[in-house]
Amino acid sequence: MDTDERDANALLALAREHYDPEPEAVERLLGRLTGPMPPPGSDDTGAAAGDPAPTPSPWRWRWSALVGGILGVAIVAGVVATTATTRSESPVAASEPTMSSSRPDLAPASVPSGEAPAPFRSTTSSDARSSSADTVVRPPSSRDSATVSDASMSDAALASPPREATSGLAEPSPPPPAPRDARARRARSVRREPPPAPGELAPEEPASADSSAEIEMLKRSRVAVRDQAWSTAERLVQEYRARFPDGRFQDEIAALEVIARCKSTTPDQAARWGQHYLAGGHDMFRRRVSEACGL
Amino acid sequence: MSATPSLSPATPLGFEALYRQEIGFVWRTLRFLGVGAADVEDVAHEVFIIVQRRFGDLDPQRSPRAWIGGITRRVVLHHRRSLSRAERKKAALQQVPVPDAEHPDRALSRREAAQLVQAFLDTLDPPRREIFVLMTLEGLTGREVAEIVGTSPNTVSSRLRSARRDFDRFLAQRARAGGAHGHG
Repeated sequence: MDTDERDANALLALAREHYDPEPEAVERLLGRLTGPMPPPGSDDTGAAAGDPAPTPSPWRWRWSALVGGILGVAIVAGVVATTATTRSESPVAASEPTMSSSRPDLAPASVPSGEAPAPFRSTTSSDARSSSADTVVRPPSSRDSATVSDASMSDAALASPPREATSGLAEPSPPPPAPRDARARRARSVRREPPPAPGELAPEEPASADSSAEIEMLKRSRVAVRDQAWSTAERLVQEYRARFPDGRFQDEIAALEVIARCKSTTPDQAARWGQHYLAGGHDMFRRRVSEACGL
Repeated sequence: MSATPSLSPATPLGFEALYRQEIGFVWRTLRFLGVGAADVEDVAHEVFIIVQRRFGDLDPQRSPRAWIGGITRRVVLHHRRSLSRAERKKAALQQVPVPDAEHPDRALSRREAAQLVQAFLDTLDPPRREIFVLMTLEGLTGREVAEIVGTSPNTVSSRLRSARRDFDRFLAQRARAGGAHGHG
């Protein structure tokens, strides 16, 4: 039993020795830790490598756009509600200032091209808000790809409030009798348009979102490789493959993967990976892969 | 452990000294907890980036190894979660042994020993694996391990006993299998 115990301890000691880091790995890692900081542009990937819960900056931007859009819509709705109350007390007196803010919102309904006039854009300060307003005010038939891509920047939560706000804006604008009726009819006809059917946006919206997400993933993989965060790069490459099995950048992704693997393994294994890649990889990346794999 | 209070958390030299003191522990723990050879350097990098960032939080009265062990454990958990099935397969592929240049015989026995220990560790559930690695392989005290794992010292010792028992059984089985193989 004593011998067994000794054998077991010897076994464990040998295993420990086997897993001791090599001196050059220790120095290399120390160099990575105490070396110069990465440039500010690569901040997000640096965080991804170091922080278990990274927060990429584009999402922060989207959140701020979303919050800004919702706040903007709420403010516009509040202004319109206040104006409507004032107008109900004195419709003629209130009509002028109301028109100055509400007319542009009605204008797209009368512009068949679906092009929002400049005053409309100038009344809304946030891009997200204006894109949402575009989506809502324009008739579905005039919704072009630009509108769809704008809409894809915001989510459903952002798209729904402007619809209410637009109806709030359209309803209380009371210009002189005859034009008002015509305008109101047009506005009502716009408001009666059924909400965009899921099928209408579905074919284009995910494609646009996917495309930007795909490019974003590729960029992150590139930056990870550039920053020598090999495991991060490999993880991103795998994530790319899982999310975009028919992605447009498969060639580059394959090259990045081989580079990351070659850099994080032994020379023999790197040579094998490199040769395997060179047997069928894309010409554009052969030189980089050869260098990375020591071929 | 006696060197612990001499480390001054505020200076870069203190960090480097701590790094040099603990890199072996972190590296081995990562490997024993299942981080692949290809990933270990990057995961160790993640550990020490956090150590560097939170260096000011290190309490001189506290064991730095327990503190770093806790960080290492959390990073491993995160790494494990983010590791896809495909990556695990790839990591397994990359763990194909590579001959060691210096002493082939000794390298072989070390590698075999490591493979054997890994094979055993793979049979353990994560809580017992952590405790076995930290106490039996890395020599931490029960109190330190309890601090790292976030459980009581009694639980730690009972899990360790259970893991040790399994280890002995595992070795006995291997010996029997080797003997049978040798005779056959």
